[in-house]
Amino acid sequence: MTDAVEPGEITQLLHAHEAGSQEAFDSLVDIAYQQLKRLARQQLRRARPSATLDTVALVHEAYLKLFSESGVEWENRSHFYAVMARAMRFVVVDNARRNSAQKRGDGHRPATLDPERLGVDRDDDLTLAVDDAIRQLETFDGRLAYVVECRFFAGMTETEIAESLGVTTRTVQREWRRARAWLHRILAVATPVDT
Amino acid sequence: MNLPPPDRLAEVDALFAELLELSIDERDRRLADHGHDPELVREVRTLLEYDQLDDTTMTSQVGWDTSRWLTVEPDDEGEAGERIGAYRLIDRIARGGMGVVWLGERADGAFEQRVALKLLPSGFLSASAVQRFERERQILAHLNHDNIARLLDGGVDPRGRPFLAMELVDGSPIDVHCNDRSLPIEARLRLLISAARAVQAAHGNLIVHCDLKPANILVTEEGVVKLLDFGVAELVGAGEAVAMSGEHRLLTPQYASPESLSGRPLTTVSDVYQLGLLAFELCCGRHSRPETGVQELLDPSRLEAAPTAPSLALMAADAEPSPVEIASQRQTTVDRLRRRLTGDLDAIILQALAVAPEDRYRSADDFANDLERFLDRRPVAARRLGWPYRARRLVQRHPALAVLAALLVLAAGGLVRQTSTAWEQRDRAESEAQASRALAEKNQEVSDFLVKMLTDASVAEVREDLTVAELLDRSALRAGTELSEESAARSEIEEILGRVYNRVGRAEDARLLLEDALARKRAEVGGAELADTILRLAEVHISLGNHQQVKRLLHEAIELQRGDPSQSGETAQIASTLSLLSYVHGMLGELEPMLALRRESLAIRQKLEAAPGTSTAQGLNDLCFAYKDIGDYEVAEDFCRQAMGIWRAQNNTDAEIGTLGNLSLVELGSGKLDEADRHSKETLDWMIENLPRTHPRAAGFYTNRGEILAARGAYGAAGAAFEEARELLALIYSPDHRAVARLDYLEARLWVQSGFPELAEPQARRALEVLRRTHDENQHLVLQARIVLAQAMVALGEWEQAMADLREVESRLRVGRSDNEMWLRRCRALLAQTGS
Repeated sequence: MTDAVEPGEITQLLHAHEAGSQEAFDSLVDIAYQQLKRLARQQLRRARPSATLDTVALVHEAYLKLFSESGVEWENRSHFYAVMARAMRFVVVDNARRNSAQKRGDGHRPATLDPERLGVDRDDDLTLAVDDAIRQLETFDGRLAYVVECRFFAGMTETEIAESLGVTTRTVQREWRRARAWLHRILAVATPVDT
Repeated sequence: MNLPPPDRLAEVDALFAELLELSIDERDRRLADHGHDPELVREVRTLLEYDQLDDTTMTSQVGWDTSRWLTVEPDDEGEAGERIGAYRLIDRIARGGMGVVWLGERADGAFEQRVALKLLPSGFLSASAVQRFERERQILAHLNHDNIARLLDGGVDPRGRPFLAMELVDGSPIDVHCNDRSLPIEARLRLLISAARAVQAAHGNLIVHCDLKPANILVTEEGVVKLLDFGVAELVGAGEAVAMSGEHRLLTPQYASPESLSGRPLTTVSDVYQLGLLAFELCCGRHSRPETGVQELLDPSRLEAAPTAPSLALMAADAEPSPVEIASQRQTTVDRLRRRLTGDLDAIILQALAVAPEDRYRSADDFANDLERFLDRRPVAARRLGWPYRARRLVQRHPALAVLAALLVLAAGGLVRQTSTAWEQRDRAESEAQASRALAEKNQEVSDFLVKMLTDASVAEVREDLTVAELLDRSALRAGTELSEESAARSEIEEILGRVYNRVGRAEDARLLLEDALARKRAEVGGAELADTILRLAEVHISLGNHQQVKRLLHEAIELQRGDPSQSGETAQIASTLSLLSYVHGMLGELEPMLALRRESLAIRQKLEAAPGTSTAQGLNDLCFAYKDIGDYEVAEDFCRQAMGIWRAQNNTDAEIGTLGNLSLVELGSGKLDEADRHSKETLDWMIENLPRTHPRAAGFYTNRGEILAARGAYGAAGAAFEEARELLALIYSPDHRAVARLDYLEARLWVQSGFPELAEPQARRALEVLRRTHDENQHLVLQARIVLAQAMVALGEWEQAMADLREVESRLRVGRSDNEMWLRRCRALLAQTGS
């Protein structure tokens, strides 16, 4: 996927996705992923060393860049959220993997992300653990997995998740309650990696 | 615990989802339907428990902090300016496990009032639960106590969010309050007492808290304790009757009682447990169960182990904060703090923290009372009932049983030191193993019987007020029925039981058993072996006061021992028989033969030992006592120090301390009060540190200490020491034993000294009744007790009787003891007083 994404291509993918194409969804995620990475780098370059990676702002920015500014029409914001949540998850998990590898490799702490928000040793491990947990949730309830993905990686509110799913906020609240218990049940048996 | 296999997860999730929609008792019913599938039930329960945790607790449970990644939902938690019921939300104060707390104010203009408004998520209560919520709320509204934040109002708002308006308390959590002000232990305990009294008041209204923790116990700037969220646990539990039902809900795991973790019913003593955790934390600066986490949630049996004593937790290596920091937060030194905690406070806190609810204080008031007794330096109930941390197993839990075990081992020839080590062991098995090792030299049948007897006794239903004597009766009955007439073990067991009966003050029963044993032995054996049994019977006759009979028996024993063909010359047994005979002369006030026999005994002991050893030291110790009784304190002190030198060379601290206790009494006699005070304190400190609470020697240590404190004029403290001794003696002896009588006499003397003749009189009479039976009329203890009684009578205005008694005593006070002079003077001064 190149930097330059044709608005027409995105529109096509969106239609395909709406029609149920998993392939189209994956492609959209990839586009969003590239975009998010670029934005994240910019965000961190702009900021002082102690700045945090603000996922909410990132998603918002990515939305503007990818869609509004590119002139793609969103008929249904739900697709956007689903795509962004997944893409954001990839960005964060990627980053965590790199940090972990780096720490284990040369013993240096990563300089990329803010220690206060992300630099605590656990946080990269946590990211990877949640990523694993979501995969486990997927094995029995995709919706629960999705809710965790949205809340954890894209920083979405329950209202936004409800909107993306086309259900009431109350339903999402109920599902989040269930997801939250499951997430921690799974995390409880995941041993934090020693760093 | 690992996750169940992937193919089961959907099943677990389905049931979990279903139960989330149900009320709590409905949940239990549904779970019961799945009783055949424990894995499923356990998994679903775990998820339900997680569902109840707030983010902070979840983080500490799971070990991962996910909360800060999550965006807070604004709409369900209220917004500033929003109106809920009659209140307007002003500012968010806190976000807890069960909802958000807002600063609110009356919005209906009725009157000005600021409140803490707790807003619970909508859908928290099922429709059927709303009614019960309302009813419970009204009950709580009547809970009116100065130390409990009042519930002012509550309801469910149109959006379905239940809310509670509570008295707004401006204060900080009790732990923060204490640490910020570096409050010393005493001030912390006063706050705790205040909290416990408030808890009791709520219990009186049948309201339990279930979630007592520092965050719920605030202290205002003025130092007033305010409990928050009383009854809220029940309210948000949709008004389940927590105290009655087997409801299973987890609040704050670190502060959860074992019964709540294992799903047993919560009662008022669950609150006592939580007060205990709080006391633990406030006193020693550490949490009693810092490790409580997911492992305990999944497997509550991990909590079955009794907690560490606070004084030990304080010293935990590598823990943060360091003991030094903790001590300075309490304005003291580590050493002082540790000593302050050791003993009474340890016992109080551990009793509140007993794993089994029935082992705890029965009420918050009992707990508060004991803390008050501690602050007033009075003996605390926790120590009387036995230290729970020593009581993990039944032998240790029941003092009478522990005493019986020790007495049996002693009687069967075990060593004192072995016994006390066994006692210290937390494990009954170990204690029993030691007992059987001590018994191993005995006939196998004998040891089997005794060990079985202990085991059976500990398995039997054991009441709190059960005495050693009762336990013994059960065993003796069994001995009579289970052992045949011809059994070789029978006379030996009779002998052992007889000794124990004698120890516990049942001399008549002991006599019957021992006479039976002796008759059997006379037909079978002779020499030193027969002498042993005769000595046992002589001990019993000492208790019965049959002095002439005792002398006869002892002389017979000495003859048998000296004439034993298998022994050559004087033996250690002869030396101890001589010591015993000397003791009898002492009781009869026959001082010259008493001294002569002890010297003879010592000479034998010295001859038998190449270098001065245990036997010699015992002989010296006996002589020290004899000279003390005579009132020749200088010589007595010299003998004491010689004995101590030998013990020290042998590294036998146990015995050295015993002699040090004697030395302190000698010093008391010679008026060296400072030394006496120091030495008796040293012995007592050692005892508390090293001997189990119910050790038979402990009573003697306390009595010594009390005598010395009384001489120093510390009447209150002396009384406390005597009281302590009395509790221990009561476990071992019947009330008419001479050891109890001596204590009665000492207490009566204390009452006279401290100006309570009306209390002294009956006690002195009780003492005399027993002493006259077991001792000679001319014996100094009897005469001293009579003088004390006369003193009390004089103070009560019974002149005539007192005068008659005193004249009689005067005629009996003969020279022989140098301090008889002192008693004679006291006697004459009293006579002069009554005569005028």
